[in-house]
Amino acid sequence: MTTYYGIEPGEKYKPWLWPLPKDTKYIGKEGIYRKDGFMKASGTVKYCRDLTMPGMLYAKTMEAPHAHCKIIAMDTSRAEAVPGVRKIIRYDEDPIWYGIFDSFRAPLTPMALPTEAWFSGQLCGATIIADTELACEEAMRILEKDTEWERLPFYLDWDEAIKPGSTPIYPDRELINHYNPGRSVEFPDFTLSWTGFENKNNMYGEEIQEYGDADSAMTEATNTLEFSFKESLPDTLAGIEAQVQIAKYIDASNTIVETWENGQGSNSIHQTDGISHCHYSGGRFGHAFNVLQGDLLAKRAALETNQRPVCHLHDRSHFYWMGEEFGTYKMKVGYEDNGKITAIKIQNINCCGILDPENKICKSTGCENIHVTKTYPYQNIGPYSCYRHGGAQAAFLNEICHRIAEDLNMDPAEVAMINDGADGHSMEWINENVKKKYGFDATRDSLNEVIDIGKKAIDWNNKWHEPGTKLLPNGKYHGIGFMYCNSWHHRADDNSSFLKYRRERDMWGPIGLGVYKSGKVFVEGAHNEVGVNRGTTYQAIIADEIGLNFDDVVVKFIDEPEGSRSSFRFRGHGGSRGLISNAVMAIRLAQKAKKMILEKACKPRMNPGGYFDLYGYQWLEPAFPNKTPEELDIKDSMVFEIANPNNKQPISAITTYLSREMFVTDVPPDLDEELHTYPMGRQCYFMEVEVDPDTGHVDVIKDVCVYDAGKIISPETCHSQMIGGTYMGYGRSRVEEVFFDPNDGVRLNDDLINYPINLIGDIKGDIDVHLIETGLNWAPYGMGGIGESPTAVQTHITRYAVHNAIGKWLDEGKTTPEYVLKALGKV
Amino acid sequence: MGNPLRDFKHINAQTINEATTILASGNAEAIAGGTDIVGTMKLYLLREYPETVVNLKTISPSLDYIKEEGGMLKIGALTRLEDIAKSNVVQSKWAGLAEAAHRTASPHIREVGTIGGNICQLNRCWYFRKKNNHYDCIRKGGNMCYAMAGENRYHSIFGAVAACVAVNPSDTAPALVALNATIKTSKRDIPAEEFWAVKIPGSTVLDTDEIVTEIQVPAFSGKSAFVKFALRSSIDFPIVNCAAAIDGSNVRICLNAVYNLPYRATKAEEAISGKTIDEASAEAAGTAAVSGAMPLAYNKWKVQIAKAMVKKCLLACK
Repeated sequence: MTTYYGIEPGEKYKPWLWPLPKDTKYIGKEGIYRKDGFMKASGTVKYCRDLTMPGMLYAKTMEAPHAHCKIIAMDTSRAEAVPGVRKIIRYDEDPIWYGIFDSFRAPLTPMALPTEAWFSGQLCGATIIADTELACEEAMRILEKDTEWERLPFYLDWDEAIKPGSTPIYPDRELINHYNPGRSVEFPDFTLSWTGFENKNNMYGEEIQEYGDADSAMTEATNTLEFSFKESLPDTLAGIEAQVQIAKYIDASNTIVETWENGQGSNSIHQTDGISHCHYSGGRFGHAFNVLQGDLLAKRAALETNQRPVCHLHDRSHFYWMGEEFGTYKMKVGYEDNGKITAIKIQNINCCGILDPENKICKSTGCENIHVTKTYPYQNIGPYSCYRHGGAQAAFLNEICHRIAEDLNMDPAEVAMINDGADGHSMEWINENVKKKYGFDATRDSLNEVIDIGKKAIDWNNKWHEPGTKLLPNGKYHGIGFMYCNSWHHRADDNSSFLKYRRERDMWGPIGLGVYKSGKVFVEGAHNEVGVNRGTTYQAIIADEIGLNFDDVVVKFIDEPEGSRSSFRFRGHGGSRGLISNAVMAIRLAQKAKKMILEKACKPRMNPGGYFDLYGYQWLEPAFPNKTPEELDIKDSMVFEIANPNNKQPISAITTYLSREMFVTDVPPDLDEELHTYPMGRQCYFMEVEVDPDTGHVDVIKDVCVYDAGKIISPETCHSQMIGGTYMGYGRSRVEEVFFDPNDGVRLNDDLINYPINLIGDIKGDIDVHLIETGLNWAPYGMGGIGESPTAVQTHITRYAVHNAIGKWLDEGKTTPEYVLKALGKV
Repeated sequence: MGNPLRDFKHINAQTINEATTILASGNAEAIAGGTDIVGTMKLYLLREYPETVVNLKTISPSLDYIKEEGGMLKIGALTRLEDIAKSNVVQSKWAGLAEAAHRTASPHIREVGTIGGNICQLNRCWYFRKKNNHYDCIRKGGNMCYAMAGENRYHSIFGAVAACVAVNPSDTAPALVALNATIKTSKRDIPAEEFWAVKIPGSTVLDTDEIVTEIQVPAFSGKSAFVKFALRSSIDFPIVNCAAAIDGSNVRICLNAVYNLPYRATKAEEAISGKTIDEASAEAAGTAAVSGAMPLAYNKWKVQIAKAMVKKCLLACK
């Protein structure tokens, strides 16, 4: 008898206790054919830039030629005369207003075609609409010559920007920020206060987050240490695919717009009425904001084209977007002789408001006393974007562990284990008060397990040595590094605001499921495509939950009518969060659908003709007469009697008599508001390197990744995610850097030749992946996310491996040869 | 990614004479593998966009060959880099050249790119390469070198040539210099060491109506080696590379990507000449190689790399 969890009135909602369906054939199994694999590997998949439509016009927008500059004059006459040019929309003609331009490095601007640009490459000034891309280009080259700019003060380095006496970058700009100056808010675990500045040394605010009493705890600590590092040269989320947005008004009054884009979210057009298509986006980490300005410019251009589609093109991928994790970080930590951390203070000069330095510290340790000061400077290097997010946060956590380990001559992995915990509580406390209380397996200790596996895999006990003490016969220094963090995205209701919206309006659920007359199950929802294997994964879950053959489940990613809020929509961006959130919905829908099928199996079936005879309906006897749904089950797309399995019929024997498809919808509840979901899953990485003291080059000999995913749905996808995450992760510190011309602030390496992303051929050694399943997450089957974290957490692992190799700390987060040579004193 | 291409005439040359005649007519470019010229055109790097592109791959008899004649290695200018890298005869007798070809770019590019194109390619200075001629620098007819006072971490460590501090990016060039090769063109024979120049915008001494037809490498019975330093070994242009050819007391060492032209490290040659190659002597040669270095504001670290590359290259010849 199948039990349905959490869908009956009065049932306690505990998705983490939902067990796997019995006799799973697809969940957790290898060899499941990836439905989009062939298309992508063969190059037949259509990306947004591949799309052509009848009558399509093209548009391009000017990019600011300098960091911080203002248009003085623009003569469009020569550009307008280029054959094929239809219209040039000017900055001063018709300001396009929109909500926010999400940059914490510049004052917020409400315009899509601003007059003043704050960073080089910013879209501004003019949009050219023409018959061909070439005509746009030719016209733009002329227009760039015919535009006069005033160069304004700029800063590329925030430490320079905030120095006393620095030149104000925005002297006339009123302070606009997300917080009210002087606000202070008490949260259950911490207090948050904000002070807004008015252009005080190019700073626009300071935020303080206080947990416990870090000052007192620091005074009482047996030991203290102070240290700092700087992530001074940012990286970018550059990808293979250049940005593109296509817009077309489908009504003569230009109020309903249809758009195509390669953004990460299918909801990026959420401010207007229309249909949005989110095509495959290739090889880019992203955030919905990335396409916002381009999207609005495309729609503005489409207003001029009498319902012809306009393809708004960019030359490059998102090179002008920067990560949110660079800054100057000063830390002070108090600890005991056994390595137990008692107090942490972090001063963080960082341009981005979404970096919470203490985030992973809170989720991975039991430290109760943390004080964080975040200072926000203005800077002219492009807006932030959340991608490979969490790398710096994991670095703070691990920097502290390694510095303590070095001071106490301890193994850093031991320091990690001594401090294991979450949200102010030790793991021992969590074992007793959380795991046991809420039905988790309290014998599982994720951090101990992942570290144990990882240490064995890399032979840590034989290879780890004191920093700077092992010179190899080949003249290189041997080093071995370690990093750890909580596994993130661990809650079943990670999309709670999205669901709350629907619940409050009594709307249908975000995903629709239909059981068709053929017996096949269709799952529908708008969905962006970022390259993870979601469709196949949901298919596996639904097939196993209902008892269907794999190919009897079809996951349809549909377009999105009438804006994002009302339509079927999978949880959009976020690799980890997406799967967990959508899996909850998929499981509940599957269980509901199964219940409906089994109920139908016990009821009379309407005659195939579906017509009334003169005396009423004609009915056939039930597929399973005199049986109740509780006596039946489904396996291999066959409904069968549990007590007599040979009594079975295909689902289609029941569903073929439906007058129409059975439609299932569901809006999952939130987790209990009072419930505190302590993150209990862990991940860790070990890296073995050889550092050439003559060149500073770091060769990675071996990388061991150990991840507690809670419950693995698609083993190959998880394995690939770890491999790809490793490349992208430590490539970020080992080779990736953005460079600017110091004289005009122009980005110099905004292409994939000069911006070096790690490739498969750059990894000499093995990447050894180990996945464990403790079930210690607050989502169905105990599953957790495995999307972003392998790449984010491994951003700094070379830092620790290099430190172990050469015995010196790099001042920078980067471990490029230049910085290693500097640390060695060779430059 | 690049921008769409403007229309241009594409002519498949049937003979060398036809190719050079077309090039002489002005505003024409030659295309072999196309791995440099196409990118240059798509990004509209230069002041002038070619009206005509003349295809050299169709010239008959073909310029794609590797042969050994009378002890001399002869490589047609249109020979692909991957073929050179994999050639048994090149590997066995001119190992440094085979290694240089093998370390160029990526497998995909080596399957298309030719040795003629590799030695004729334009420089990779990011100011020079900014799209739409954003920086109309001295190598395009402008009046300043933006790298001189700009971001120059990958630029010359041995000063400027004609006020330019861009470097020569070829991997095969230093190997050809070290092996004392001759570049045969449609007009003349040029010793490899004299082949490169700082021109607007070119990087060789070739006249407008002149193409490389063959590379000749003399018989060599010694040891040759090539080493390369780049951030990514999979695909990157060199930050520094170095080739050495040692035949008895005859030592030739050539650094590249450290100067506008392949840099013959004569001081290193003097330092190592007649000595047994070991860690100490190779280290001393490396130090000698960079003794005249004049690093710029951001590229002092390249001096250390160059020193290390000379050392490693000599040890590879041991």
